[in-house]
Amino acid sequence: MADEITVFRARRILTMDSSCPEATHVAVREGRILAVGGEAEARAWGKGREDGRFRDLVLLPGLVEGHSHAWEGGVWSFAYAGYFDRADPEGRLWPGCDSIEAVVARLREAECALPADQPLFAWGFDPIYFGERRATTEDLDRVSATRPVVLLHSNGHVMNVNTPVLERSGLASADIEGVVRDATGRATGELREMAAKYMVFRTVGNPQHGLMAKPESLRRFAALARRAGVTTATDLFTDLPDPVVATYLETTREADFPLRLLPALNAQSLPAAEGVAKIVRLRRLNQERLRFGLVKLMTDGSIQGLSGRLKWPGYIGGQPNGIWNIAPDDLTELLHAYHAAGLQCHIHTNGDEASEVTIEAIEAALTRTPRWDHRHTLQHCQMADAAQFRRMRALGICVNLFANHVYYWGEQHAALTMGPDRARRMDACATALREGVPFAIHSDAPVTPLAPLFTAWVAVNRLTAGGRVLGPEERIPVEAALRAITLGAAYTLKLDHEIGSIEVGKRADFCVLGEDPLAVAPERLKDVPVWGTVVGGVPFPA
Amino acid sequence: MRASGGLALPLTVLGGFLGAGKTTLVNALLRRAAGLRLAVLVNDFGSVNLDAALIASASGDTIALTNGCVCCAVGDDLAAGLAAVLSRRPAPDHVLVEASGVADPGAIAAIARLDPDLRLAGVLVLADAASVAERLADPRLADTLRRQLRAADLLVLTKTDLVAAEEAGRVAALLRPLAPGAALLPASHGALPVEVALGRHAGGGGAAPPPRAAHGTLFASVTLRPARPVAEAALRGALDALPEGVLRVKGVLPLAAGGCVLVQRVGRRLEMTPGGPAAEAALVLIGTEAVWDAAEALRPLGLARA
Repeated sequence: MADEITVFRARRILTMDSSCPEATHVAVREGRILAVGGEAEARAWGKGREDGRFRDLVLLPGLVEGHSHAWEGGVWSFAYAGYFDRADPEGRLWPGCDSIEAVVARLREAECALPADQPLFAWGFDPIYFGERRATTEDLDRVSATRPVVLLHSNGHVMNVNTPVLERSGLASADIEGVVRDATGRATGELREMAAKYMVFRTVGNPQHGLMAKPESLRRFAALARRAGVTTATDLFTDLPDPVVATYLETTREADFPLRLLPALNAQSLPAAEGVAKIVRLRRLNQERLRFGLVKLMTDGSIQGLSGRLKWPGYIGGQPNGIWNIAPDDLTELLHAYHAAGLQCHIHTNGDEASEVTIEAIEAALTRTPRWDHRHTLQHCQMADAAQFRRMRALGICVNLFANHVYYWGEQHAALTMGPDRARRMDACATALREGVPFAIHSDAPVTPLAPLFTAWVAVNRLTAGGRVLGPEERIPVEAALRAITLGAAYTLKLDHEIGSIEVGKRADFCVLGEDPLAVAPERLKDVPVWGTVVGGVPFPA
Repeated sequence: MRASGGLALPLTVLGGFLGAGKTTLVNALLRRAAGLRLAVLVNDFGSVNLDAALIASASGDTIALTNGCVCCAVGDDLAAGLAAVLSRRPAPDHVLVEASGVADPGAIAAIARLDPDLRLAGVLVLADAASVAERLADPRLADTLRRQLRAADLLVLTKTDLVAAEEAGRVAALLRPLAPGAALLPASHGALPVEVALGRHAGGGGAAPPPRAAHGTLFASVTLRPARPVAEAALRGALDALPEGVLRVKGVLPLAAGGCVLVQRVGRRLEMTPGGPAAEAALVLIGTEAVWDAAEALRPLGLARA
């Protein structure tokens, strides 16, 4: 019965509600939290059905991933060729490919399993970990000398191909920037820039095409979320074409779909007036596990790709400044249009110049159209300095910091992009905390794995993959990190009244853990086992 | 893999910063391209402002005009937009890609250089005479602008009517070294003839277009025919030395060494490739009044006005 009361009893419940930070019982009715506390509170509404399955486990509010992409559920259609170990949606662990030899071995394995007429796509490759050694056609021709092989780099802009692709696409003999050549002038198979990518996709097809209109992609994304303790996640950049909207509506209605999904419209894909109208129209379709309403704007590129926009003194290697995806003046206009319509904007800013331009654009929008509690959020905001954080607080701006970067690229940032000093203040969670800027931390999945406990571990320890502590002053306490992946993220999504803490009236969304994250050593936070989740009162074991 | 049934589709890239006048020019070209099935790819329809009377039908991301042109909104996915244009039937005669205000038009031009179904017909970059100097002095914008200028074959100085003549001269002097491959010309309010912008004229056929006056700049074209085969090196030297006012040169000429050569010059970028029908030997110069002097300069090669 829908109005039946279920009482979950746990070893410990960490609520994120400062008026009742800890509990042992939570009563649930109609998918919502009816009562929290001890036995007395839970029984105050009458005797419910006791559910003791969490008796030895620890409950947290369902984790909230404020910056991910549902594409994480689609990309597993291709072979994984990343440097780090990674689990797929079905829970299979794929060991990281720690050499180009290992990449070739992984691709050969995948090639054997593929029907004869299909090209082989692989994803997640990042040669930044292999020093001078780059992948070449010799490597990929060993995967197949006849079948097209395309190895997509994790940055999304570069790829490696084998000889059949080079020849069929005409790129082998093309005299064009973006086709990397060796000392003898021969194309190595590494391709950069839009034109080369265009020719490859024109030759072998675009592997992304249509994948997000498949319910399976969304179900796989939700499966990854469930295993990570995540009950709400964003899909933070989509054009929301009709077939994708239809799939999102249908799939999130499935009774066993264990995730609240928040797509954010790519504001640069259509004129502002149409974008506003589209969101207003889509919001009417909102249902319990699907919420339209967010807007995404992209300002610059990425720091490891040297395409982030930096202030003086720029990249440590003296490389030219990065690129704009939108001109600063255009950003001001576009942001104002959504701001004036009462919508909330999430703005991708990696470099500190991009953050500054965005802060200025928000200030201009507020001057023109004053508005309270807008919660526009800077996404990534990796290089912001203390003064920028103070301006954010003054203007009511939130931030969602890309903490995972410290682990995955921290060494590279110290050595190759920012230099050791500015690398220390990257993704400055402690500065956000000190300056009072509401903040979350994120994975940007599939750029890094969807795993908020891991992200919290990075924010707490700031250990790089190389094993050093990068910027110890920017470490934050475990309590603050746990808040950032629950109530903090919910606040940046304007859902803190509904999710993010275990409080009466909120959704009965829980993350179920095998150990107490406040009791384990902080350096073990990422190893706390996840039992699964509860979404709207329904348990979903991982 | 040639989708368009043999002939490569000419592609023109239109670049330039926010406010440089790209939209005005696109709208003007769409109105004036009668007889030419022009396909225009824009990021979005936000700024395309067409008379309702000109619109035959509109569906989703495509607007079809009564004059045979189409305008397609491609958003972020230019590749998909180009693929859709290449598969349109009837096939368009020409495609114009409006680059976003921060895009590098050179990167889009590279697509036309690579795809055998496309042929690059030139990179037009617009610069606003009233604001470009200030923007070039802004460190947030300068590198983006410089990238755009560097890619230009034809650099069109717009809004010259908003500044004093000497200021327009100063701006031109500032821009010239930043656009080493380009011919620079002033043209405001979209007053650029189709034949200059696209390298072909509306209405089809092979006749040279009549001279056309447009806001102070007199555009003209002249057709030259060869009295005898030309020496390739001499031809290249003569074409490289043409004055800036010759904005485009195209044609087929017989070579002294045998065979023919296809000539295409946009701005200062010269392409000479073997081939072409000898029966249609001719060279067309399109530009300002400078084409008349240029025609004289080519006379020693045996090229004379038809």
